[in-house]
Amino acid sequence: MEKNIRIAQMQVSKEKNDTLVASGVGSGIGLAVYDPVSKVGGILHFILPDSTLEKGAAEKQPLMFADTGIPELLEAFSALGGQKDRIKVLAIGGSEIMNQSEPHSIGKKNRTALAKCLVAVDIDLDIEDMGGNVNRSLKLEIDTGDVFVKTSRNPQEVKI
Amino acid sequence: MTAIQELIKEIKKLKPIPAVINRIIEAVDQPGSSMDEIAAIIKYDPAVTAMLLKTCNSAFFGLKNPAESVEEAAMFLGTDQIVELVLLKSGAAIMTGKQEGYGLQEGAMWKYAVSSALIAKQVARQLSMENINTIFTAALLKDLGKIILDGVVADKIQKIDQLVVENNFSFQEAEKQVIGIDHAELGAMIAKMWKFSPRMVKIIRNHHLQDESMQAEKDIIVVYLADCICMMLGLAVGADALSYQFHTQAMDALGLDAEGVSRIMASFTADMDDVEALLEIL
Repeated sequence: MEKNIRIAQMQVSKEKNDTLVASGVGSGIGLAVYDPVSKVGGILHFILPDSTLEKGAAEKQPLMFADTGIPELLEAFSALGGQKDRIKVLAIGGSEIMNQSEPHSIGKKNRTALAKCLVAVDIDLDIEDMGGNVNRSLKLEIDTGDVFVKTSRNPQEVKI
Repeated sequence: MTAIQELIKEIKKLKPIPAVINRIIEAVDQPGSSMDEIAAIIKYDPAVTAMLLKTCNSAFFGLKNPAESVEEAAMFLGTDQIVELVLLKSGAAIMTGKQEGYGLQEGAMWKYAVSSALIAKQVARQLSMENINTIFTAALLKDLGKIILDGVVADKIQKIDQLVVENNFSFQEAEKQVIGIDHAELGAMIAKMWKFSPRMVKIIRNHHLQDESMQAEKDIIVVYLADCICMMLGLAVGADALSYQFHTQAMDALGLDAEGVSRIMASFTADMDDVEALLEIL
């Protein structure tokens, strides 16, 4: 079953027929995790780096932010039997509008926040496709762990 | 006949928005016009009234008793809200199709338009601006030009992409270079032919702030910012993606720093369920 992940949402699954899809990842980041042994996978689509920005929004939707969303994704991944020592991690997104330089570069801030959050839990990022002015989509097949990415510039999906 | 003349011919084939909608747009543009006057315009058009009542009485609004007249709908929901619904419904009639040249599936341009309009309204309110309805409508209709330009963009997408990737052109600059006209310019032509107010035409024409002299005009900047936020959030974004210029000085003109922009994104996203539910009933 195809499960779509909107902005500020996540899905984790170990159902072999499931395919998780995050479409339309812009400055936010689509973060996929997968354990090839237990075949547990998940995707989070966060859009902003830091939950201290807006307390009300963070309480209502913690998955909106890197610092509150990533721990929730990892917790849900573990709860289904995913193990940290086998985890494969892939990230897409973090794009910018042309000349969107500091301090307005939200894509870059998201990329930095992602790196910081992964270091904090001692997890490496295995594959990434981030930055530029493109919009991306990410698909994760739970049974195989295969990941496909397509971009606004190349609508043919590519297995990575 | 030149390519641009062909495009203008295409505009004439578009089903224009109903006259009553034009009168509402004209009225919302007038600083002195009251919401009651606008409600009065709606009530004399039976088709628009019927559509409005059907929408107001949908489960989305959860009214205890169904509204049976424009006055009742205005009383239950507020005149502001019913005007907004009429504008949204009229936009849906022309913008829900697919635009394959721009890589937009059916409904994608519409979702982008509605999200832009809601964000623009949120920002305009936050900044206590007076012409909120004009800003809302302009944000909703700003990409009208894409409907006409779509077929040509589909044919020329490789050349356009090449200019974007290799020459650092914005998508709009590349459209202009390759086709001779861009979607904002064409959108403004449509708006003019449909007799929108000069202000609305100006906002649509300049919604990417390509002309630096527009970067001091707050209503245009609000529509521009709403567009930028939709791009960053990836809300039904097409082939043009984030390939437009960001103008920091425009944010300064609104008095918004980077955190301020992020807060607007957060607050809109927190209400995303409501936006999805609203799209369902339009």
